[in-house]
Amino acid sequence: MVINHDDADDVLQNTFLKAWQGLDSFRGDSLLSTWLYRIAANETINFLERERSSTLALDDDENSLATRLESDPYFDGDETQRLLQEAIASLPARQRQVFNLKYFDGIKYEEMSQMLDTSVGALKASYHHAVRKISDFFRSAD
Amino acid sequence: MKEEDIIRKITEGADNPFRVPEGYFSDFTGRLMSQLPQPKRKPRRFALTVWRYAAVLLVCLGAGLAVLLASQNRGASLAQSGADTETEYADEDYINDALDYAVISGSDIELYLTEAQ
Repeated sequence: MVINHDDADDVLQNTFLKAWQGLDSFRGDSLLSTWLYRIAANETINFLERERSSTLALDDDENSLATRLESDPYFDGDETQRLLQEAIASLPARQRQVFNLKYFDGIKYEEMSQMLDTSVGALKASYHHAVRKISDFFRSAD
Repeated sequence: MKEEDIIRKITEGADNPFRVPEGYFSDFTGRLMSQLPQPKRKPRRFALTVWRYAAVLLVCLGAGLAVLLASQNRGASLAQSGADTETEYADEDYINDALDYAVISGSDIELYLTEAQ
């Protein structure tokens, strides 16, 4: 979801801080990991929205995702994977989230439904739209 | 071919290309703990309560001591007063004078009885 390692570090720390502060609100209705995933998902969405509003004016070649990934020491992907990350980054936040969780982490829809507090049908639709947009992205890149 | 298969074929597996820096999680706990908010200091309130109880106890002790001293002084003054009275009644001249004034003669008694009839 978050491309830069430092950003991922911030999101992860904020996630655990929120979990610490809201520990009393954890009722045990779901697994602790599911609860943590939900906090992380909300934190990530909030981060992406803040980032989008702050970097909108800086979206030039130097700040393009491809350039940033090339210089990122913690990105081991090749050209194709960089292209895939660009395609994923072009998705709306919710579709990006669903695609990452299913494609890279292999999370099942039922578990994802609890994490994101969204119905399975809506998640399947989001994933379908994400896959279609990524395919279009690759076709247009050829 | 399904669109998802196209992507999977292109990327040849869905391994996440991002990796975690070495030793990242070994010091993560320490960094996180340093950011946790410090617990509020409740002992100060406890100490204040103790001081309040101590002050109330001190006032009670002072009041009790004052009452005790006052009662002791009163007892002493009463004892002194009783001694003076005893001395006064022990004075023979005073007693004789009082008896002289108080004695009623036999003729006075007959006179009272006659008037009463």
